[in-house]
Amino acid sequence: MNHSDSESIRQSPLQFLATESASNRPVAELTDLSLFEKWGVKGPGAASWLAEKGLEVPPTVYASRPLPQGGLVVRVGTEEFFIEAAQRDISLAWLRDAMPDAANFTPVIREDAAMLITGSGSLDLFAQTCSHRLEQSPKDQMIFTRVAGVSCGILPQSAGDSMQYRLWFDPSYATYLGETLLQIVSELSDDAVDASV
Amino acid sequence: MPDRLPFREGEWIDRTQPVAFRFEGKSYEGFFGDSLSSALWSAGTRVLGRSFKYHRARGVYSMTGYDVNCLVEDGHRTNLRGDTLSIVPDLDVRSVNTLGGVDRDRLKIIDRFGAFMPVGFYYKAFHTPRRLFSAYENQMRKIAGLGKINPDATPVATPKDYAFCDLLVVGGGPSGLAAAIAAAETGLEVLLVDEQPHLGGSLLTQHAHSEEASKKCSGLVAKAESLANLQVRLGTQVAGHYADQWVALVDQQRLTKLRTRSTLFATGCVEQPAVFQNNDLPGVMLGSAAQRLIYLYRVPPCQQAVILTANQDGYRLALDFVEAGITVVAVVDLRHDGEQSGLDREVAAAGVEIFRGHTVYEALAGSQGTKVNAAILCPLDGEGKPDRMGHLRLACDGIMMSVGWAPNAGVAYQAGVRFTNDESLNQLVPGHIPEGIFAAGRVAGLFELQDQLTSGERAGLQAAAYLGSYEGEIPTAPDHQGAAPSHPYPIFAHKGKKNFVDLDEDLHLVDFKNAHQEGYDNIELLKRYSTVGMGPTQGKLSNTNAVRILAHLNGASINETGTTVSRPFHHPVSLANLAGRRFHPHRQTPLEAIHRANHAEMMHAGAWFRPEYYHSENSSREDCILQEARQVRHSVGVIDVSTLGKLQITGPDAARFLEQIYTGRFTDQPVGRLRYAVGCDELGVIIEDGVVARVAEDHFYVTATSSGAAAFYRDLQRWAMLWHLDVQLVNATGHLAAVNVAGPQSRMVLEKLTDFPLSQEDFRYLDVHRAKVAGVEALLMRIGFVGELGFEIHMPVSSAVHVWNALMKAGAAQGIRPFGVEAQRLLRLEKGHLIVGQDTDALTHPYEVGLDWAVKQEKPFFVGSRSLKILRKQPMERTLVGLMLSKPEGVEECHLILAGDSMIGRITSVAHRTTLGQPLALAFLEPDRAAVGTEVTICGSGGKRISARVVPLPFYDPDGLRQKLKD
Repeated sequence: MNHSDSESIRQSPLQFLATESASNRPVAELTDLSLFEKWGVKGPGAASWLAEKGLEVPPTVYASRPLPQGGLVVRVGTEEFFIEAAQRDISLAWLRDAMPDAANFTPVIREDAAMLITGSGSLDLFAQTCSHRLEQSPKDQMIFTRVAGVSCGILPQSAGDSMQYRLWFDPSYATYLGETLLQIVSELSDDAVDASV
Repeated sequence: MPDRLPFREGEWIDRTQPVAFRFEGKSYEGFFGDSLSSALWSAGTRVLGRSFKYHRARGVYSMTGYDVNCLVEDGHRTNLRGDTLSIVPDLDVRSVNTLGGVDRDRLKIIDRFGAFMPVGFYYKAFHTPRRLFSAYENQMRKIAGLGKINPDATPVATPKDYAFCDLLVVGGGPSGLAAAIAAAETGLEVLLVDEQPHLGGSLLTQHAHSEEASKKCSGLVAKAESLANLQVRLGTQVAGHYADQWVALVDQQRLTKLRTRSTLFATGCVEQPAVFQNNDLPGVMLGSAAQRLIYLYRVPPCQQAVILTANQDGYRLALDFVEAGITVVAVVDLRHDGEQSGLDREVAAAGVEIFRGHTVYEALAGSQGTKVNAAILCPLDGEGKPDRMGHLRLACDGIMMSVGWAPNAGVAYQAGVRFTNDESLNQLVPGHIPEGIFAAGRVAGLFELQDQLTSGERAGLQAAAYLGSYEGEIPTAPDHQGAAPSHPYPIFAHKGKKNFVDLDEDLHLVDFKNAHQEGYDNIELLKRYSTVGMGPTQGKLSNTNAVRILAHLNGASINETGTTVSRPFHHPVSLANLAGRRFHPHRQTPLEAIHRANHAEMMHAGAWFRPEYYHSENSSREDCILQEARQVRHSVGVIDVSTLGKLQITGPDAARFLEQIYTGRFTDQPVGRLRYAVGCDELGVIIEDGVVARVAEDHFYVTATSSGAAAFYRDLQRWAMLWHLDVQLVNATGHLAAVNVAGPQSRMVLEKLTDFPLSQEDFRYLDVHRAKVAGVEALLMRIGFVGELGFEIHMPVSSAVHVWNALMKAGAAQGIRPFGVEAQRLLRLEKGHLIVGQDTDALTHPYEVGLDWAVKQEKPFFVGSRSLKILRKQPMERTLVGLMLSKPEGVEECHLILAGDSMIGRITSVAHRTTLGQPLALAFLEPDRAAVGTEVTICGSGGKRISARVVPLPFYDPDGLRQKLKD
């Protein structure tokens, strides 16, 4: 099976985000990125192996770095890494398949639900769902916290003059969390419309 | 027509926007910006509510929302406070706690029997005879209580949010504004919160007469608004202050959970009432309430006022009245030497008569008893007692009280501030202030405007220095000069016993004397016995006088008497705000949409939603479950088992780790084989079971129970750290999906989707192999939880829908259908497989449930081994057996099994309709009654006795031939 076959087989737990709109003029956009391929390695020697493979290894826990082919690698533990491709049609097989048989570190299956949150209301959305002070968080540094009661990894990124937020979480919570966030965005957007009238 | 004073700059009402509303069924009109109380008062309505106990008429009192004289409900919301409830079009409210409306409240007759209802009367009167207590209670509950909850009201989903700042400044008056600006100018992120809809505090009322003060106010507000790092939240109360500077902010829309680094209290003071006969009549109000009516709403408080005072504020109020064109009949000064600031001369020059060393002894009501029409004045003797011989009657329609202040200290108390009485002020001021907490302005005992501004700036800079953003000079602390702004004892006895100390609870002076006489001479005990300060006002208008009375009765000072402290919430918070938006995270498998499309009845299984069974047309629930089970027994079915815990254990010590976790052996487990695994805690109690698949020498894949997986994984992490083993743990539960294809034709179906050989020789019972299923990399296990030939497919969650659909297509010829949790439970019961948590409890060890074979004591160690060794030597108290029931109904899980009147066991699982045609159960029984063939009696539903017989387990396929089915 080649990668495009695999693409047709895979289904995102957040695919409803593409069709369900919070509002005509949402103050925040939720974009489903769940089908970007993800993978992880964990265990002694993982960092040096990734470096061998030409990856820029994040120097500290929670730091992230871009992959040479696009995408990112996040250091989620001393010897634990989360890797994500830059696009839906890019495979991480080049890295996965290079994993040595006799290694002390182990591959980790990652099928996280993933979304991108953008827009002027992003911080208002997090203010209602997350106790972490995101506006003061350094960019490109992973934060592990809870959003609407669900354990998530959040990566603040700059997008021009503004900030955007990547979110990863257990896919079994995707429907709940996606719908909850959409509902809040809808209310925030209605409030914004009311305020502008 | 509404009675309004002429337009004045700074008024809160917008006269261009009339607002129609209804109160007690009558139509009224006010202006945008009006509160309900101000609009009603301007319309001449004097009775705004009825009191809690005696149902006495009540009117405007504080105009702050602190008192509950005007408490209304609108059918959806209750206990809305008229002082702060903005009128909006279509507002339609009624007063709470009346029988027949606020004007004709039939319960007002209770006021006549007040003498028979002293404090604590219900404790003493209604405990005997005991048989009547429920009747008393029923009636009391009907009469007492404020507001009614409408159970049909639509819940309003209010958001909750989180916020952060460096410094929280509570109070937007002069000192709060000065503090917030000073701190913000050092670069701090400052949040300024005020419960009123506008900034300014006392600058808008008590200092409103002064053009200079008004300019100062405008300047401060403009400055505050210009600072980007100074955020202002109005209409917001600080409801509670908790450990580590966690603060609850509440406005009409939401509860905000604020984390601040420091808090500055500039909460000001609450004016305190005097205690005299009928001091609760409509028309008797605090001087500050009158100023709020005049300056904010432009409503004349009355036409002819008597002002009772003991400070310069009363004189200032008299001048405000004169300026507003309201007649001041007299200023009655409790002090024999009167006012020394010179304001008395201005008042006298305005033609107002001043009675020094006098008090208002009694307010007299008109014929309806619903508003003031005169004040009785008495001179005070040297001890401050009224001399009734010299009384004087003055006609008036309003009595204003300006006799002193108490710090608005509720939240400061919660923050750890402790107050002591300053005798030069006759007021409590902060004594001990914890680190990171600051106070400024009136709450700190400073009453002059300039002092308030200076103390605000000083406190703001102190906070900035504390937080490290300021290193400069800090202004010197101002000190109060002049006379005390509060009278030490503005409380006057009266034989009429309607001189109220606490208007919430209708407590009058004699109630305190009685309580003291009964031995309640400690402020905390007095509070609980009399309920002073326990009403909705939370003592803001009563605690100060209560402490004074107790101190007086004890012959002690205020500091010796002490004060009560405050707990959250400082001000009532609606339950809707507390509940807020409800976050109930729940998990779904990737196949949920398919289940729903197949008419699944979904059920909660821990955090998950799972299909209980699939509806089938014209079939009952039981029929559907049985049909699904029969399909598995006779052909092939498929169940979504994605909820199973799915853990990956790798590393050189992985096998050893598992041997120490589970009771069984794993170091000798061949690669490609599965083993059943039982996990115990240190007491030998079963906490988990599942299968362990050895997929490589140092790589195990473990399943765990759906609801126990998360806790079990935490246990594994803990043990891995404690034992210092070289293992890596991964919880892949949410990342992998799993389906189980079960039934004699399951091999036939699966063969169409995989190239991996599935014959008995190639894929034995309890084998595990990596294989592609429908093009998806999967882990394939041959297991038989339901007692049939079966394959479990574990695959990436994103591919689950694809594989499921492929299975359904491949099995169409065999009539493949999904089966739910209930069919699975039935099938495994027939097979005698236990479910941890259902057929085990918090004390069950493996020997009780026939898992002796799974306990390998020859190992050096496993969790619970020592306990199990001890348990093995002890006689067993119970054992799990199979029962065949005599009736296919009436027995449920947890029903007891009896021998005579003694309990000898209980049902753990039951199925009334089975594929075997007999109702079956699993049960715990005492071992000496568990022999096969023993007849037992179950205490079934409704107490009916149902007989059952112990039969061998498993009920189905005892030789296990079905799950080992060959080609």
